[in-house]
Amino acid sequence: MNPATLALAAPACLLLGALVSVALGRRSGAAGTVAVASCSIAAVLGGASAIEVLRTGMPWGWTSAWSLPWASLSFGMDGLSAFFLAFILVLAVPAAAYGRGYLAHHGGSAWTSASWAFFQILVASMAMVVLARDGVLFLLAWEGMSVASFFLVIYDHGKPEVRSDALVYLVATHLGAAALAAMFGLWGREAGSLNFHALDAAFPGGKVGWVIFLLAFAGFGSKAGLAPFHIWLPKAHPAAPSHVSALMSGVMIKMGVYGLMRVILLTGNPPRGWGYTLLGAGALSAVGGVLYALAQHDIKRLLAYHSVENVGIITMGLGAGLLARTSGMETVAVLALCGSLLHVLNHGLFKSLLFYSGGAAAQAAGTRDLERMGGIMRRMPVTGGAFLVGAVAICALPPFNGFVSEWLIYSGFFGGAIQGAGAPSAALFVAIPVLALVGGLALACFAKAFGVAFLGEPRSEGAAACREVSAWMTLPMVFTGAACAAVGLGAPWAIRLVAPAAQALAGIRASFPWEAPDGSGPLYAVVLAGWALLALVALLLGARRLLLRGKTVTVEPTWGCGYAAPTPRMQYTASSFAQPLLAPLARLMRPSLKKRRPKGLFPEKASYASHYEDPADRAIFDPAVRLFERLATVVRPLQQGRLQAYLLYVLLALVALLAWEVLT
Amino acid sequence: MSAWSYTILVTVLLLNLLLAVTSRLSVLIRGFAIQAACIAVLALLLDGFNSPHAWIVAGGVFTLKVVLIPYFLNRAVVRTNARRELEPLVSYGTSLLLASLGVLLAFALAARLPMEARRAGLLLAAAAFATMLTGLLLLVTRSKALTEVVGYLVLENGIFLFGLTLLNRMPLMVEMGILLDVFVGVFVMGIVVYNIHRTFDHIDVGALTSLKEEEP
Repeated sequence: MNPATLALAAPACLLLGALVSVALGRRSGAAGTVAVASCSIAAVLGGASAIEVLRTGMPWGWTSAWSLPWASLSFGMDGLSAFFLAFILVLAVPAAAYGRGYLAHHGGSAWTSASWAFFQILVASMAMVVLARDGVLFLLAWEGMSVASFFLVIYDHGKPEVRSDALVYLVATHLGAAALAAMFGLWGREAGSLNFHALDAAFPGGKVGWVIFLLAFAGFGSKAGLAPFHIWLPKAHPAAPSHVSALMSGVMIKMGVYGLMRVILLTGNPPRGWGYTLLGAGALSAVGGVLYALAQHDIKRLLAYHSVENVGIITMGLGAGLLARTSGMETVAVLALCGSLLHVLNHGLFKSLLFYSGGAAAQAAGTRDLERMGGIMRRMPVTGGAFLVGAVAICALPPFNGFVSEWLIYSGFFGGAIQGAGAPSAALFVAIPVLALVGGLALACFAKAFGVAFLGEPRSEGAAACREVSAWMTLPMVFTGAACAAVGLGAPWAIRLVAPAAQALAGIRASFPWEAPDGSGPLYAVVLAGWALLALVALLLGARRLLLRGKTVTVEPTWGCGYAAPTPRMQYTASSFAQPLLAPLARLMRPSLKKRRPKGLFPEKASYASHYEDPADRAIFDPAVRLFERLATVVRPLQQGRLQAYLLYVLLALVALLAWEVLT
Repeated sequence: MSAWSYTILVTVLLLNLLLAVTSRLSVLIRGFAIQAACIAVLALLLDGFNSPHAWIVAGGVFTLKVVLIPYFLNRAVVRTNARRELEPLVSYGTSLLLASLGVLLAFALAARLPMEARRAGLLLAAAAFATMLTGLLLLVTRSKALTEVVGYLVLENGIFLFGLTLLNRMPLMVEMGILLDVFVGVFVMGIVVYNIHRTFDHIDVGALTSLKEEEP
């Protein structure tokens, strides 16, 4: 079948599934199964189509007239769309399966079925976003994505904090969409059409070009969660059910990255300033994201801040690629862009994995607070193992996938810093220690999260009563964990998924020589190191077994330091783990600390509590809300509650318009 | 345009003033019905008596707005025992003044319409605008739910009258759509009126203020 039909059949199948899910009403378990099935079919259809395009390197386009003004039904797929389409559809399958298990205990309700319909609409509209080749169609799909995800976030609408967090998300996402509409309007005015072909040819340079870029940066950046547009992200992810968090954090925020890349592709020859902007914003997000992640006690909020961090890393790679491209270093550009794109895939995989396992642990323990978990590894071995794999991957350690993509980004930085000259080279040189700092802090953060939540003794009754979750939930963890390992150990093959897109972004028309020593040679070495590490671990485990053979192994409680009545609450806490790292930054991060120091020779009570408020909240969000409230108070008297008053407004507006027409 | 058409249009304009000034609900309803009848006849006069299109439109208007809707409204008046509009938000004198000003504005506006829309003459467009403005005036200044319903209906009369200037162009489906709209609208409002009456023991829409969001 031709790839266009296959690709468009995927969203069609998902929308059909959504209808069926709604029709199932109170049988929400069946609705979930329908979602799993429709996502699987869509993944096969869309995946086949994407692989066809990636294999042959032949993009397709399909256009038809549409009754909407200024719009056409234009679809198309190139290397970038193919990669993102496969990425979206394949990752939706484990998310759906996990959600099928996660929502099982909620019992049958029509609202849950509706939530499944929104899930499928979300996946379908993301597929449409990457397939759309027309501004209006793109915005429609984008809006579908925003609204569907809002309804997914507000699943637990009985809780007031969920409602307010979802509302923040709705407002943030629509501000972003407004920026995008303005961007398309401005660009379309230059081009005379909103079709991507027309936009492609007509990108205006100079100031207008910069305005378009900044609008795209704000619009796509707010979806991607780039600082300072990330305000919604740490609120929406903890509020949503875990499979939704996984899909939103792993996949949906990448639509912002896709949008930025699409705009760069369409502009043809982006100016160098964009590279600096993206590199800078990426660095800010990466460092800020990981620092605030370190300060969190809520496991899902912690993971959400890591999304900010990883989107920052992706954007740094993209910015480095642009800088290298505009400085004529094509090889470096391809390396950085490949790293950036591969990190999109990798973050999707390990962040999904972390949300699956972290969400399962939180659900089993009945709390998202790290300080009330502990000892979950022994009670939920699969979940704990999955979280460990995800943590190793997100910290960019071999042999998993995060290592490969960050290694590619690093090699882009190093290549640019060494080969290039002048300001671009200096910027890339500065980026190296930034990325290293981020990696180190991420490692500390996950040592904290994993250590506190999964090791040690349970700190609450909920954590003590944890049981391993159902196969619906463990199988997606096994799948994504295996995929993390597969990408890490098979990087020279995985790179083929992203290479066409990276070459297009780097402005190389000819095929990039991946088989040449400068391209894939080191990549093979990296992968070999991963295999060697695996072999070493296997060897050590084997040796341990060999040495312990024939001896009795007993498990004893940890030495309690001589205390008469030790309790699990005497364990190292998440706050105390993070405190030494964060204390020097107190001036920068401005935590609100509540301390009660132990006093005297026989101290009675002492306590320590820290709360880190997001600086974007403090500096942007809160003042904006206050301003809005003041404005709202001014216009409030307009709301009279009297029918006649409202009709009078209509009449006055009408008479004013007519009078204006008469007088002019 | 024949002398008959002019007579009818002047009648429509005068009825507007009557609607603006009357306090009796039964007179209000009768005034509206006569206005609708005038419009139905006008549709026939303008388009010729042998056009099936005009007959269908006029027949529809007559059945709905002259027979059915007034019948239901009158029944509602009897049922809710609200015979007079006692508490208008502005006095009847002011209403009359405003309605007259509306007629002036309507003429000024009609004179500025492109020629195409004035095919059927200045007076028709002016009467249309004046009727719409009267309908809106009723909506804004009266407090009984039933008067509000009549306000909507008068507003629709104006829209329909304006449609007559384009009778040949306006497809039948659109006309029928508007008629259906009105019918459904009145049907719904009838239910609302009945429920307001049952809940509050009167049909003063001011009582709906209690549905407003509380001050924070």
